[in-house]
Amino acid sequence: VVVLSKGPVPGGATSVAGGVMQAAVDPSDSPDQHFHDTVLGGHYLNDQRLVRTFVNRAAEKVLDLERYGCAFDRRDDGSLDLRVPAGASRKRGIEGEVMSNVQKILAQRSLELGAAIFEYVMVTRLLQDEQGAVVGAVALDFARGDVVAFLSPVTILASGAVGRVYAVTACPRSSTGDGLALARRIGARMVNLEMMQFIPLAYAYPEFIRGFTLGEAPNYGKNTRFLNSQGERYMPGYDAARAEYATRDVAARANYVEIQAGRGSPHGGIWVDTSANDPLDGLYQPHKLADRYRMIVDFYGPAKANFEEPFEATPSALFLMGGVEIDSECSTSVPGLLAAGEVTGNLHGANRLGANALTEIQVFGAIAGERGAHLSREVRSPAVSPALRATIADERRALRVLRERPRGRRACDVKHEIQRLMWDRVGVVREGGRLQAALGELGRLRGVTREEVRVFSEVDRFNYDWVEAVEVSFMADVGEMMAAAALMRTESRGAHHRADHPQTDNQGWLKETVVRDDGGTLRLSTQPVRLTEISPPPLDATH
Amino acid sequence: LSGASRTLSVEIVRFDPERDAAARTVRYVVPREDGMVVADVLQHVYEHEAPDLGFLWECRTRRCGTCAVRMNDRPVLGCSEPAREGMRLAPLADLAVVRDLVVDRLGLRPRLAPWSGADSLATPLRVLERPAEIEEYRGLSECIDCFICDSVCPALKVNAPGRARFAGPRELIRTEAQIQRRAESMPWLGHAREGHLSLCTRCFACTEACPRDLRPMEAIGALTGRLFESGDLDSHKRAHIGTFLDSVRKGGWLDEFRLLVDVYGLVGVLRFVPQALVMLSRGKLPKPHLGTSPQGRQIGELLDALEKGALPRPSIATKREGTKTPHPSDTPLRSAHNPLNPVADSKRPED
Repeated sequence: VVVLSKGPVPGGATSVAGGVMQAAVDPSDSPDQHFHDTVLGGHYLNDQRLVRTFVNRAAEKVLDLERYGCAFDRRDDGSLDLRVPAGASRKRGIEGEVMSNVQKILAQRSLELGAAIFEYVMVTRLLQDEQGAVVGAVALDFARGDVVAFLSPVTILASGAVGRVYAVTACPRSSTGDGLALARRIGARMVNLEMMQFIPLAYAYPEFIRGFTLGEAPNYGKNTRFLNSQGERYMPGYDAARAEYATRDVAARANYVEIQAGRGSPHGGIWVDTSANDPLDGLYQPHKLADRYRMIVDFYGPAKANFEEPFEATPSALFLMGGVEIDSECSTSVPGLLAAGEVTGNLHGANRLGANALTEIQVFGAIAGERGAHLSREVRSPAVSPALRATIADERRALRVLRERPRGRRACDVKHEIQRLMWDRVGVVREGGRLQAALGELGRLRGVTREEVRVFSEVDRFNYDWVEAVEVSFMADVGEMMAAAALMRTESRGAHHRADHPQTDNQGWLKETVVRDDGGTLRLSTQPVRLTEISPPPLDATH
Repeated sequence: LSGASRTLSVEIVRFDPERDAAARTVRYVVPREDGMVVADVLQHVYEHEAPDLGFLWECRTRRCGTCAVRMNDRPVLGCSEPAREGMRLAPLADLAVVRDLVVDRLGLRPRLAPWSGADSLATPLRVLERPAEIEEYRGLSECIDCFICDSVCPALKVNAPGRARFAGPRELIRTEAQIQRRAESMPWLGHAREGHLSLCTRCFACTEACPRDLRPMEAIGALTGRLFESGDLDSHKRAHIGTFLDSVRKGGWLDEFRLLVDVYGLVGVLRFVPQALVMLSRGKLPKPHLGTSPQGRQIGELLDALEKGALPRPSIATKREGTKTPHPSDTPLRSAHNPLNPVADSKRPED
């Protein structure tokens, strides 16, 4: 088994995740209850086959981690100390380990079992045989500055998050959606790529940390107020009953609209006024120097951290609910390719419940691994055919060209352009005309990433200029698919909000959007969502 | 950041061992931004001045350990360290430089599992169930492999080919974490023994520098204790510890002459005679302690109490304990100058 990681281990979105995992382990809870919460939270758009597999194996797979070396919070009597995650109807959140440590524990276990794990190796192309089956990958080993090829009877795509296609994101450096672009380029089917989850509050500055989560209103106490640049408290206009304490999709949308309408703070956020709160109240816990408090002191200073002054916050891109289409055994529409985790769709529907993502990677990571092991015994190891050799040479050449082009643009400049476009046009609130315009721009940017990007750094090792030159072509490919899917879904549901179609349409849109690349052209279609167990109540809900 | 200047200047030590004969210091000027951290400055230099600048970052939140650099000769995490006017950024000290600020953090296997995989699979893990043991374990397992402790360790500085190799605080805190999770402490004790713990000078540099407020030095102390109790120390070190304790217990003094004789034997001690003569001639030979020191009995009682478990053992949990203060206005805000100040974290946000 060979594991290729573009970033370091720990790294990727898991490494910065909160560390709560949903699993029905409490006597008052059950997989059925977990199923119900997940589908209701997902606005009935989840693939219920995936949800069923997920809830049935959640407890077993999360508790596996303890056998590998994790230590979850337990009470004095030794029982797990559970919390109630938002949207869950029972105590179901297992927590206590820093996720970066969980990654290290899993990596250690894999190494001990004989797997080879490579850091700083970025897959740039999936290899296919004559029948179209995936038989390996070409990768840029940028710790050494070398192009390498791997042949394998089974390939598992587990490349994670996509948040970095946006100008403001909670995701770490690596999360540029590479897996979705790789899947696109071999014609894999992808579902619900419009379903991007945003959080309401994140750092507005400095640049480096912009988009990193600042939690939600309740994290600061019971009297948190959001104000725009005119000093207006606008949340009651978006949700009269709950105002700042509305669900995170509603709060993210309101904050985005205020900022985009020019009523933002100096650093492009809104003001969070915490002056009516007691810092010692609730979850904030400055006396325990909780991470959140510490970071606010680091970046915004003690006066803001201690609630003496309001602070700035911006909504931020977090999680893609859609992705590569899989069945409950993690098979994709392409033979030889399995997929697991955030790169896949559609477990979470239109809105992912907090603490379900980390359970997802435990459950589907295990399934993909088991399935891959099984398949690799059935499938013969691929032979190095002349055609394969030619493809590898071709990819090697394409990667060299980026460094040898006589003139061109810095990849980081193009990256900022894509990120800004996605944030402004395919952001928290979408609209048909703007999406159409974005598609045109993304088409142009796809061209730029292929013809005009040039690597200016001449070094071989850790040449991030080279890495980014590849990343921008992935990001343009992914952005285009997301914009196309968002244009297709002419309704609002969960995280996807269309200003020109504000209603949820259960008659017409209990469907998945499907995107597939056919020789460079995107084929768009829809298919009914699999409602194998529960359906929405007959009346249309107003969004 | 202070002052009205709209720019900030920084010196970066740049070195590519494949191209350069020696490191050079390059000065850059970047626009100032509110709340700017070291990584902001480096990212700006990379995007606008030096596409080939070597530095790493991934998580932005003190978890991946890749952005550790030296700022004005002090090791820091670039993701959370405020930028300063005129700061000088260099790679962590005493580690192999890959390029510019990137140091060799080893491959994944030597970093995470330097012991034998077969041994490790054969030793069952146990589930930690008592909150106290979980807390202690986290004080070890939350190490982020930033290599800051290794970069400040004086014992690692004198490692050299052909001499006993000291494993260093980073590897040893990991080893102690493994032992706490296992039903049996072998083979990790063997691994610890090969790490030559006794070369640790107990200088506290690692524990003071740790950006996650862990206590690597105390972990090394715990490992030494395990080796002593298991009889898995060589005879010299056993005799050293045994005589040390016995001498202090009996008289409140450390009888250095007795220590030498017990550790090296009556014949073995003869090889120290030339050195002793030199010391004598310079007036440096310690005077023998006779009788019992004024606090002798009290010291003996303290040792007895420690052994019976009547006194708390030194903690290897994080330094966060005992730092909780009642109100934020009293809170010792983490100052960039003082790595001893608390980090921390209790309940984490959901995600």
